[in-house]
Amino acid sequence: MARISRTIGIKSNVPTSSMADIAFLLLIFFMVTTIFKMEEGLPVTLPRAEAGQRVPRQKVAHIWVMNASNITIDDNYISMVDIVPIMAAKLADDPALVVGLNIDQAVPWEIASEVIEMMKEAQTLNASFTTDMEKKG
Amino acid sequence: MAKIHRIRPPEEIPDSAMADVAFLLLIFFLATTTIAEEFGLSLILPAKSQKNQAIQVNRDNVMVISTDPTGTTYYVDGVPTELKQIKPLVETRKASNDKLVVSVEPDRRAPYRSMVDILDELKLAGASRISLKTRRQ
Repeated sequence: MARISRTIGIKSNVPTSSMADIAFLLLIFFMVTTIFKMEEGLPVTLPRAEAGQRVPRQKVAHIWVMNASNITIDDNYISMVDIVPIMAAKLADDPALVVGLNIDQAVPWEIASEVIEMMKEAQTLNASFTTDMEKKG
Repeated sequence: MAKIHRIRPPEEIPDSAMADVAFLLLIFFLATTTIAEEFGLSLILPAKSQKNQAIQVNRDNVMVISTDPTGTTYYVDGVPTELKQIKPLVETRKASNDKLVVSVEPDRRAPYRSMVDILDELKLAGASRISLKTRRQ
């Protein structure tokens, strides 16, 4: 009788099926926690500064000023005097509100200072003059 | 004769590449996500005060930095000064007088950038008492 000898080799392999789960979990985590910039703002050229400090975006309400007739808050075009009630309402929602002034570098100081006056009127006194962090050329 | 049973390998869908796909997606999102950071020069504005509530400051403690209407020439106490000279001047005055108040008074027609340039130099010099002259003062 013929002798049949057969050895069945059991393959040893590292289970990698759960690797996909981990990767997808990480992927979903980053997708969920990513906050997209919702405010469009105005195409302003910000002045450059070396001493600029990081501003926590969660607490910042932005005022965009391109010139005297192009002022926006939350992508709504407003007039200079409208800054007061809008900022006052925002301050009532968040007493720790920081106002980020995104003013074009070429805007005359006369207009910029008027915006600051409006902020004082609204009692929003925590101002941050938004700058470009690049080194001065 | 003995009956030979054929041992079939277990059927399974190959899923080891799934992890590669998921990690590729993860790396793609990690690499392409840019965290929007905002930098700014912060300043606490004074509350809107009545005329009779204005703070009196000794003239000797005040250093006035102004600009010409084009915002290209800077003046420290009326003396034309280079922008880069403002920082050492403030540091020197601050070392000899800890009550020093720096008043930033750009010309109303000067671009906003010139005010930010001065403010930047003052922040780099460590000046803490800064007064910003606005239109309605």
